[in-house]
Amino acid sequence: MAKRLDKTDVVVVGLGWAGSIVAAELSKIGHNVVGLERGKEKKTEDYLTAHDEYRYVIGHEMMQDLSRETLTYRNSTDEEALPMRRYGAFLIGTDVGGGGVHWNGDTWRYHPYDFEIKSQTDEKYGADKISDEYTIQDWGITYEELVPYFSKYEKNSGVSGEQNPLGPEREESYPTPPLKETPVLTEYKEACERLGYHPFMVPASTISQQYVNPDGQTINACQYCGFCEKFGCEWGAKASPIVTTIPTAKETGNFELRTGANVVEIVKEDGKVTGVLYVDLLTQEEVMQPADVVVVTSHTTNNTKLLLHSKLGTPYDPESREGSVGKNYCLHITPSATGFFDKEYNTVTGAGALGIVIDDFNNDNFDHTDLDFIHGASIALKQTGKRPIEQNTVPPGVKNWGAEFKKESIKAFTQSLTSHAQMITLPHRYNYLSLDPTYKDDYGRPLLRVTYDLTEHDRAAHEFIGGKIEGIMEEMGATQVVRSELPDHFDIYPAHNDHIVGGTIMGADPETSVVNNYLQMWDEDNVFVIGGSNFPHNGGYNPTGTVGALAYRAAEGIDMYLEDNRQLASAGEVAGAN
Amino acid sequence: MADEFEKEKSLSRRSFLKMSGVATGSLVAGTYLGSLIPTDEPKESKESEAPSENEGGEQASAQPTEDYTRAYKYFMNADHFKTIEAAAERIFPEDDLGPGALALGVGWFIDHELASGYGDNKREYMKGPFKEGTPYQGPQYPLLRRDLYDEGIRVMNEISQKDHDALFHELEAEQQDEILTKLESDELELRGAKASDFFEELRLATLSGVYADPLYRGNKDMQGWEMKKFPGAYMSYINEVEQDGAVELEPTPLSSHAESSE
Repeated sequence: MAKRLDKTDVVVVGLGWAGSIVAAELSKIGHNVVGLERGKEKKTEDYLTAHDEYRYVIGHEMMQDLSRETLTYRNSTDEEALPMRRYGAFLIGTDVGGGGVHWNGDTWRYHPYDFEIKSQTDEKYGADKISDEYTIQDWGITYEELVPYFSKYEKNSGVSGEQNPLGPEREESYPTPPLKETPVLTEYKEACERLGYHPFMVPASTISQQYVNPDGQTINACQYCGFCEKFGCEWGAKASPIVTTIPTAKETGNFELRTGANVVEIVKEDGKVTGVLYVDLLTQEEVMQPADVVVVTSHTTNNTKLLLHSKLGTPYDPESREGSVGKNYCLHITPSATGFFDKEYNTVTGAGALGIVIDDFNNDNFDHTDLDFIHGASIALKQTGKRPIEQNTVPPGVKNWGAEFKKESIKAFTQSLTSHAQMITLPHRYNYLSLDPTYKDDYGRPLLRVTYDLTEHDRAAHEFIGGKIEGIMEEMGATQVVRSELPDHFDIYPAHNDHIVGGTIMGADPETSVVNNYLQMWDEDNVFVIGGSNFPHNGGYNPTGTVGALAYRAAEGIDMYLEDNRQLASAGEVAGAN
Repeated sequence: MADEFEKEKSLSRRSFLKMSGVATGSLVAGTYLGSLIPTDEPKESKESEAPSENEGGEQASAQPTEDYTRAYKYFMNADHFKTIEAAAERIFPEDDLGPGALALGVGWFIDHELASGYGDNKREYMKGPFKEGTPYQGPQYPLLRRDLYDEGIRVMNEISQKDHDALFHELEAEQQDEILTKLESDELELRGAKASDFFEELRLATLSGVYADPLYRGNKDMQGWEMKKFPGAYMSYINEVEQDGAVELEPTPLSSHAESSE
């Protein structure tokens, strides 16, 4: 029998960006918030010796312990899913701050087109442009409605950047100026300009100068040490929950942070959600934390898993196409091209979000009438700082061990550069999340099962974008350019991209979405689910800025719910829905 | 040069201590901290210095010759240990750029790792049932890495004895390469896993041993980093980030930042 604690106003499950934003916003206005985090508490001081590639990158120091809990994976419904036994395609963060601590800091607003992708595509290109096997849908909210929340998130983080020449005009400039434009970036920028493109600096949460945010939290100036992705920042110079929202929440006196608390179920009693059940990982005790509102803000995969375990919402069925929990699961496909050069570059210095980017082939910035895909990608060259265990690129034809490998991999460490794109990835009817019938986690509950494969649409977009990147690297003067290739089926093992979305998607229709545009569940008025899991598709940018904006909006919604305990949107009447 | 190195170490340590203050809110940080970072790096003199290999050599000779950590933590049998050393050396051989895996201590690195969480797949999902799966479902074999290495070593020496009447580490380089190629292409059979699974583990562990911080017992005297022009654990490149061309700084290990009351 689980120990039952005293009730709190709000319990937050997982303290990454989404959870900590909700905790900070609600505790500031006087609500009592309990934050449950399965990992440990981490602070800036804990990363003073983080320049350890083996521990943090190869050893996955900051990631979910897969021995306790993983997911299973298959390419199609006629295969048997098997467990992801070790990390590969994507990583799942843990500890206080979650992925918001080990991220690179690229901070984007999804484009107006993203939020209305279905209606705008139909209107411009006709309803036949994309087969209905691709389950794209509008998000139930518009860019304009999200602007105030994007702005809040950027101000929280002191984002460094400049106006995207092809993007919506900003209502005000970024809180801090762009990072330094280095010689590598200048070369890439000039190559883009010669090709007629419109390069600009990547909006960055690894910030250019010291900044005090509206809550009084200080973020320091980036020192370009080159250890961002998969590391915590020892300078407190990367905006993260541990330097912004967590301290803000703590200062209110209304927030209790409880670590080592692994939530396994949302508890429903007498037809109403009354709290969450968690396992205390130190004592192995089961504990029930009652709350008026449950806010689910764990990783994309774990958000969906928790709803399915708790039997909240209707599980998605790809055959009948009914239900919505687990629907629209998307990875983020990242075409790339590596250029090999005759000269040496400064490749070890950098910052997670230090880069030059173009939007010329993103969103609907170019005509798709004669193309067999929609949307596109942001294409960037980032100077994130190369590290030697991970970076052993060799030109084609060189095998990956032996004398030639040693020589070529050492040479390429300073003489090769890779440009990547964050590319549209459309949801597909058969790419979805469900519970596995065989494999279980440490708590005896079924693992989440991922059914996913590459789609023809995404292959077409990858081919087109890959060609554009190749062109830029050639223009930059590479003697040889090698493009990324997609395998016959998506492979769970090689490293790919951590941006995975969907499963608890937002929308204007309770039949086709899990949450309304306040991220409140249609089926459970006092449950809010926030994260990449809300995205009905993956857009042409890194997702975190949009997650942050959604979290600020959700915090407003939760406060409204606590006023009068109501469903904040009626079907079809959600703010922003036409 | 050694003095410069010491100076760099102490400066970076000092900025660290300052930073602990920042993190607890007792100091104004950011640009102020940036000013603590040494601005007059010995960059100019760098060109005239001896090539990096010699630097490594000088450092090595200045150190005590006895290293009490050079003992087996996982392996029990010298031939097994030498098998791994020899295979790693073929994956990352000594050449005119500098030392190979053997001299960099990769064998010791792997021994140490096999005795730790790496060896028993501590943070990986190892619950059954185990099934082979498609090529797209990632590694599915039930062996712990310790067992995989033991099995790989057994097979390498078995084929080596059969074909050449000698242990793997006693073979000529070309003969060793032939056996490694057979592992890589699954022309040899292991119990419980594919030969290529073992080869891939060994390849990745070799690269880790070459380039991980020397605290893990490989990358001897940071010579792996020197060869690759990777400076190691620098906490700031605020003065180097706008430099054109490769950054060549004296490598810095994590030990220069670790505090102790000793």
